[in-house]
Amino acid sequence: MTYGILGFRLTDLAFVTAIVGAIAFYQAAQSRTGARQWFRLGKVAFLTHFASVTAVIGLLWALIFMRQYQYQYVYSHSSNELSTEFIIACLWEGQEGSFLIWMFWHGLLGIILLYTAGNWRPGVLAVVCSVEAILASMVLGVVVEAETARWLLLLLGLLLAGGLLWPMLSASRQAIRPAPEGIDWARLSRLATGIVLLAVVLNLLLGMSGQWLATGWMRTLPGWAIAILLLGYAFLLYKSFHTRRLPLPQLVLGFALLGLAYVLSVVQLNDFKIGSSPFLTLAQARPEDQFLQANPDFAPVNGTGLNALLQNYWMVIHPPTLFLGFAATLIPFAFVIAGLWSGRYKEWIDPASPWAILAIAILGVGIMMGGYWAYETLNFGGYWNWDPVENASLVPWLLGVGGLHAMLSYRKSGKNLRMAMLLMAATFVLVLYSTFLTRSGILGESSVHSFTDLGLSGQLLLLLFIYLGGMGLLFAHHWHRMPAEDKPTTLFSREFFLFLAAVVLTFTAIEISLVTSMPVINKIFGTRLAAPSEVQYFYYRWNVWFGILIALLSAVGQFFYWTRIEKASLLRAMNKPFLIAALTTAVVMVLLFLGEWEFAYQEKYREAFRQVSGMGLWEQIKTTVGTSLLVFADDILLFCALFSVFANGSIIWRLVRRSGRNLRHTGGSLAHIGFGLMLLGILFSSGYEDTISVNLNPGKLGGSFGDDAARKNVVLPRNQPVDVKQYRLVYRGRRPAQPPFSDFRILTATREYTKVAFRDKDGYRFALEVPSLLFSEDPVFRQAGSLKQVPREEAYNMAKIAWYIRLQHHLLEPEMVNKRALYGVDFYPLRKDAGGSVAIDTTGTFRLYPEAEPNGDQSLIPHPDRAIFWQRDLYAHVTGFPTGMEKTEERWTMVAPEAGLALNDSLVVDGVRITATQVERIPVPEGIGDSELLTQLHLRVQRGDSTWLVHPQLMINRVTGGLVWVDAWIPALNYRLRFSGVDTEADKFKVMVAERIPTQDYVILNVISKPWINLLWLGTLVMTLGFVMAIWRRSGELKKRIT
Amino acid sequence: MKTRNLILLLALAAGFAILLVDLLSNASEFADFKHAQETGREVHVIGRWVRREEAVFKPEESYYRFYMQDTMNQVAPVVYRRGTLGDLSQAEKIDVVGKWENGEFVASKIHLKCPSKYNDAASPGKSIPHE
Repeated sequence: MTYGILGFRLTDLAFVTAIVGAIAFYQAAQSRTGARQWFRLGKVAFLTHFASVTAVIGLLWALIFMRQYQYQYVYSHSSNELSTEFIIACLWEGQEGSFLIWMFWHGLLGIILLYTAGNWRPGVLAVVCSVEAILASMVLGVVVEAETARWLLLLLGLLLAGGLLWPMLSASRQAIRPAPEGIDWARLSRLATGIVLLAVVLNLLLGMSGQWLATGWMRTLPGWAIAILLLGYAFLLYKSFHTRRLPLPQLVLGFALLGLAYVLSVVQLNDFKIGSSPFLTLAQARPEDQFLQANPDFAPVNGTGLNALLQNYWMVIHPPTLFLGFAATLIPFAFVIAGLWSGRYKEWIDPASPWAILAIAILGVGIMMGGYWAYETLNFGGYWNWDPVENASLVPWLLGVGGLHAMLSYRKSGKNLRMAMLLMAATFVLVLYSTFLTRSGILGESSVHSFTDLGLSGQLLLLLFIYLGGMGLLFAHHWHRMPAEDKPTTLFSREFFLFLAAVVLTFTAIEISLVTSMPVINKIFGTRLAAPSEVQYFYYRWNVWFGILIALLSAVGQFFYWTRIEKASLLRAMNKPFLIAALTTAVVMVLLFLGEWEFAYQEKYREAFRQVSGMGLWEQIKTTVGTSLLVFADDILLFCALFSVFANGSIIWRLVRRSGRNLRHTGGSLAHIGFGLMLLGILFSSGYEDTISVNLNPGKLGGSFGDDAARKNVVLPRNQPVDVKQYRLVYRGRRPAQPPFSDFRILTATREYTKVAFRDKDGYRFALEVPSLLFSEDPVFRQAGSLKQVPREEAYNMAKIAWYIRLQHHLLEPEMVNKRALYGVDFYPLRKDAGGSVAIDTTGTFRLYPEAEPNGDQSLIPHPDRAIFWQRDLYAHVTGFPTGMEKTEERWTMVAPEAGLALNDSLVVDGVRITATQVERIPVPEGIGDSELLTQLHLRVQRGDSTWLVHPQLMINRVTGGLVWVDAWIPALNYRLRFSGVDTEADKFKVMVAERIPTQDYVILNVISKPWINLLWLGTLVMTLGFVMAIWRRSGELKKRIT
Repeated sequence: MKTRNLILLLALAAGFAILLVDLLSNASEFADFKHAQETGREVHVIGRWVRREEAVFKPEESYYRFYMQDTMNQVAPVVYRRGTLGDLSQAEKIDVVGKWENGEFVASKIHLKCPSKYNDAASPGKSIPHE
């Protein structure tokens, strides 16, 4: 409990210090006098804020590491089985934690600004602090009583309104002398203000002792007094129109605040919650649970754990990176806002440049990490699904890149300043918007991701509106004061191309955002729209053109590096790259044609053309033109992307050759090359995806797959080779994907015994000895032969080891922790000989282990595996396995009735002779009671020349007579031998022999080839490298300017 | 100069208009069975499985027919022939995309929204194992 209280107080501290920081920095930026003192206060507040955010994170981590499951957040996000890296990741698995990490990044960037941003510090940090305050409010977890809130808000409103009114009232005495016969409204207003303030303060004081003046005349007093105040304001307003000597905006603001205060004093309020704290105990989080209410300190022994799908190293790095990207977009935004309100419309660009590039770079890396993660483990072959969650981070990125180009245009030629400001500000607002989208639950029906609505939607909406509205007001106020751009832009100029780039990127962002926002549009307009049913195709049809335009602009635009280029020299410079790109495109197209590669949507186009005849004339024209354009779109994109790569490559080549220019200047070109490579990678891997697992005998699959799917999935019976396109596939068997206990390690191993260490379900550590036999005999994974060597740990049949440990030591629960299984499939490349016969290329064999997990009775959750080649990925995932496999795997049948054997007696079953040679009592393992008696029977098993010595064990409870068996297992015979009991009268030892039933084991597999997907990842790296160069250059310039 | 700005603005406006028209003409909509019946268009219908009505599940023939109650409480048969269907009994909500044909709703896509073990362990209904 004490930790929880500490956590609550620390978040409160973070919240309050952020507010203080915001106010202090604002004052430092605004006021002429005392700026230094205000700044010092702000700095102290901000540093305290950062320290408390860090402490909150540290505390939460400590709670997770200490397994304090009495806390809701720890209970629902971590568990005993998790290894260290995932325990770290637990912090950002939940929404509260991800708000914290976001705040931490803001704080860290703020600290850097505090020491580098020079005279921009107060303004920029005021914005940072204000955002931090609102984010901190998201994790406050304070339940506000309606009455307290009412009076506090009332007080705040009055103080603000009064603060505005007071100087005006004094001014009005000189400005507008009341007519001697009229009422002195100014005096009356002041009187009323005094009365209301008194009533409110009195009420608050009384309220603290629990005695609200909820009834009686005091209750209505504020209402009356505010009404009088409003009348006073109305008079002042009237006068201000009349005399034009009173400040109208302030009057309006005061009027609005008073109106709000009046509404607050009248309406019925409910208790409400601000934020959702990660420090709630289970009892606090679940008021409906009676058990917990009776035992508020109850701590479960284990948590519910981290989502198994998320247990991947990307979970450790992707979320913090993405949040750093989100956090970094705040800095350029803060510079824009600070620039606006201090009237430094142009000056913000230089200091904000490196930050803008940094934000875009990190956000971009974060997005692509998400894509790679989805591709690698989560999805059915895709790195990008146009899911609202993915789009929500892509849209700010696009706007940011647009803004970056507009900023560049201003730096170089003094153009597009307003656009730069708008786009950089919009980037951050869009980050807020995506936060709202993904955390308010509004996307519920349109996304595959699941969201928890913590009841923060109101707060998130408020956050969005504050910054959107504030930004709008500031821009409206300053729009006409920004420097005009008088010089006309010429067509062949750097600034025009940069402008076009920003326009195209913005338009792309609008397009994507529009589709993503459909649930929001539905909420606002009451419509019931859903995304197009073929949403991928919809996005392709639009984005292919944007891709073409961006690639083209990035190729041509970059030539303006040498400032004003003449038309003729521009064309000359582009000549070579253009020709090379055209030539390459032609060659690639011929190769595609010869290889009978078909673009993914080709069939759709044909279908569209077929349907044309049945349409009206207008529809006919529309469809024909539209589809004809689309038919060539992918080829045009291919050309433009290649052109961009070659053009920018030639620019880098020139830069490197020229003396005096250094590598820092290659940033832009490198980023463009990266983008071109990414486009190529996307075009090929998605557009020319090819099914390898072609089923030549689709009937074999039965009807459980649609016609189309039946042709793309093959059934692989165990150990039977099946030939598909380019490969012979052999399914070798399945085994559990993860050991049923965590942190499994081998400490020492001898011939007989192996000492292993592990943690059980409750998180306790164990080290014990098991027979080494258990480790050497998994028939499934010993057949690897010449294939890729299976790591030793992977070869164990963990289920068997677990079974042994369970029986022997009564430690683990009998169920497997998870049902994920690995399916080993060998790939033998096929080569057609000259004679047309098929041969196996043994040098290139490899094995893949796609995973699958049963989900309900009929479906499964696949986790793909892939083989990476330089020019393509082979991507395999399981689409089916026999239902109930996990139950039938260990099915046994008795080969002979239970037999009693005296010592040296033999039993013959199916040509196998089993002889009892010795029986002995062995000590009971530690931790098992004295009433247990453990005996071990030595059996000699012979078949032909082979002999095995095995020792099945029997444990008898002398009190209850209960029996526990530890069977012996002879894999070569597929036999299990049990020492099933003792016949004390006949002095015989009972033995049972069971044989494993070979199950009809198969797997249904889908294998696709993703050509040139590595270009996408390579492009990402090159682009990031470009950004790094650009940051290096811009921050270098900045430093030079300062010193 | 002026004219070029104007052209650019017009081009942008035209582009935006085309985008809106294209999006709206391609968008499907959330609706109920009644609406699907009346318009015959492809729509999303969200509802729940009605267990007491007869359901036919033939995974081997890829044929599923079950009754669903939409948000307006209308019950109608849903037919699905495009592959395997998840576990209906686990789904708290079903989102079917399809058309009304011959007295039944023929689905082209079915999304099951399951209270999956993957999302929220902290949902209020779920109790904690005490002991």
